[in-house]
Formats: sequence, C-alpha cells, structure tokens
Amino acid sequence: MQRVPLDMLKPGMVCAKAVVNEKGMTLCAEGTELSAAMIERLKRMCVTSLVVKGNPIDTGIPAKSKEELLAEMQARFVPVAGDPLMDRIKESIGKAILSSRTEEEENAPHE
Amino acid sequence: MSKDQQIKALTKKIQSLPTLPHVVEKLTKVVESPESTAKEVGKLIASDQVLGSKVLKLVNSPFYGFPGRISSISHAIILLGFNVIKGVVLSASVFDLMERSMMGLWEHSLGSAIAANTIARSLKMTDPEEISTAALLHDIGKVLVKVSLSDDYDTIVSIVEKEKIAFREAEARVLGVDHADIGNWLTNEWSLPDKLITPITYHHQPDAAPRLKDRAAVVHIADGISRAFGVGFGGDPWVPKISKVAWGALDMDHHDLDALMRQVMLDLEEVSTFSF
Repeated sequence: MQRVPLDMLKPGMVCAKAVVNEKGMTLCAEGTELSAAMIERLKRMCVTSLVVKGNPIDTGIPAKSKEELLAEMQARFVPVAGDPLMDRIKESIGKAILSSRTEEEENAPHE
Repeated sequence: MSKDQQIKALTKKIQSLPTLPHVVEKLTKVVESPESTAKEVGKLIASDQVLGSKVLKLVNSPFYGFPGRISSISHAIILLGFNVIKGVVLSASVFDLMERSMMGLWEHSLGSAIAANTIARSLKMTDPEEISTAALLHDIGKVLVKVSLSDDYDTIVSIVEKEKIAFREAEARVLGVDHADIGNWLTNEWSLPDKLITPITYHHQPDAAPRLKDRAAVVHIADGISRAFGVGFGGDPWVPKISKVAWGALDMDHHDLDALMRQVMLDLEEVSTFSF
C-alpha cells in the first residue's frame, strides 16, 4: 500500500482504501482500477491523495523483510532492555510486525 | 543558573524568532471572538492560498480520522473545532521551516501525532484531534534550536553521534535546558492554548504536569511508540523509557496492547513519503 498524491496517480493504479465525502458517499471504492477520467473527477472533488495497492511509486528505498524490520525495532530498545514495561511494548510491536500482511499475501487469491 | 535564567540567556542569543504568518495572528483574534463563525474563519485561512491548501492536506491526513474527505476549510472547522484548526495552521507554517531542513523530525512528529490519535481514540478520550495536534508539535523546541541556534545544534548532534547518548541529554549539556523547555517558552510566546502548551512542555515527564496529565501522558507514550516503530528520526535512534506512572494513569494495562500496536502500525502505514 502506498499513499499517493493526486497529481502522481496514473490510470491502472488500484484503490486500496475507499474515499468517502463528508456525506458518507463513496467517491472511489476499494479495489477500483483508476481511469484517467476517474482521476480527473477526484481532482474536481478536492480529494488530495489516495491509498493505492502495491508500491507503484519508486521511493528509492528497498522494501525490508519482516525479519529485518523486527531486528531493527529490537535494536532500538537496547538501552531500555530489562525494563518490564518496555519489554512488553517491544513484544507487542514485534507481534504486530510479524502479523502484518506482505504485498504478496495481500494479492494472493482468496480460497 | 535556574532554568528560567537559562532560557532568558538563550532567547537573547536567538536573533530571529521564526515569525508566524500574518494570518495566524489574525486567526488568533478571530477565534477568540465568540461571534466568529466557521465560515469567517474558513475565509480567512483560505485567503492565503498556499496555507489553505496545506491545511486541507493536513486535515485530510489519517491522524485526524477523516482521510481524504474534507473538501473545504469551513467544513474542516465544523468537524475539528477552532483549537484544532489553529494548531493545524500553526503546524502547516512551522513544518514549512522543518520540511526543508529536518525531514526526519517532521516524519517523527507526524508518526507521534498518528500514534497519539490512535491511543486517544482507543482510550475513548475527548478531543483526540487536539491531542494529536499537541503530539505533532511536541518537538517544536528542536526546530527553534536548529533554525535559530544552529551552531549549538551542530554541537548537540556531534555529541549524540560520538557519545551515543540521548539527544535530550546532549541538549542539556550544551544549552542548559532541553527542547521541551524551549518549546514551552516558544509556545507561550506564540500564545498557544494551554491544551497544547502543557503536553508539549511535559512530554518527557507527564507525571510532573500540573494539569492535563492524561494528555501529556498520551503525547509521551506516542513519542516513544513512534520511535519504537522507527518512524522518521527524533534526534537519536533509541526508544526512551516510558513512564510507568503515565502508563498507569491512562490505565493502559487494561487495554489489549497487541491490538493497539497493530492498529498504530496500520495507521502509520497509511502515511508514506508521499503523503505531503
């Protein structure tokens, strides 16, 4: 998932999070493949950015694996190691990282 | 020297205080008048086009909970209230300074604001938007040090790198005060509401806050969580010890920590480099 400003949206990108207006009306549903006309319409409705599937825009930062993310997170806790509260927080964040769905899992067909 | 004297000495060194745009000053007056309507305030903000579009981008970001669906400033005011809008206008102007020179701090601040919002909402606190605005501004003192005391700032950075100590400790050594003290002075100079000043001032020691302890506690915890997730750069790479008193005051033990951290992570994921 990537949040992309409107002027960087391209036809073919797929909406990953619905956009609704103040009245609760859906302007763009999750799973919608964007067309040029739809992007124009979102612009007219003052939508500023959209969350799209995948990582269509290259940020120059390679995606990290869950294991790398976990190890980096644990390293940040080194100075507070042994503090019971901090250990619990570290554990919960570790679980959150491991439970996150990778892009492949997100795109896998549902059985 | 007492802290007050230290601050006084420092402010003498500061040649130019980052000035607030004209519209913020006007806004303060308009907001204080009970007769002002959302429409009038909206018009005032929109009169500065650049600022207006920034405000709309900020209010449509995930930490205010209405992503991508607020299309006019007056609508934003009705949804979020005058105080939040004032904080947003201020953040938009302050971060203009920051974005150019301190991208990592901007991301850390944004991450803290998101974490604060998630925590405040899951604790069902009132005014989660105001709490996240305080979190967004919690390190404002660092911006002032960087912009107005840049030599001291460079010394602090090199001490942190060499001695591997927390940014705040290095600040205390070089300046005699830390960014929370400086943030307190600056936000008072700017006459921000106490609901923003107190959590900013006490974001390291929420237990010491004379009032609004719960808000200071949320900002304190959110700062730590944002660092734990590695969002942006808060001056040093470590997670600070979270206060047990603050944790207990919010009754955090009676909440599902795993679920909360999962939610924070999802909310953080929505903000990527391309949010703004």
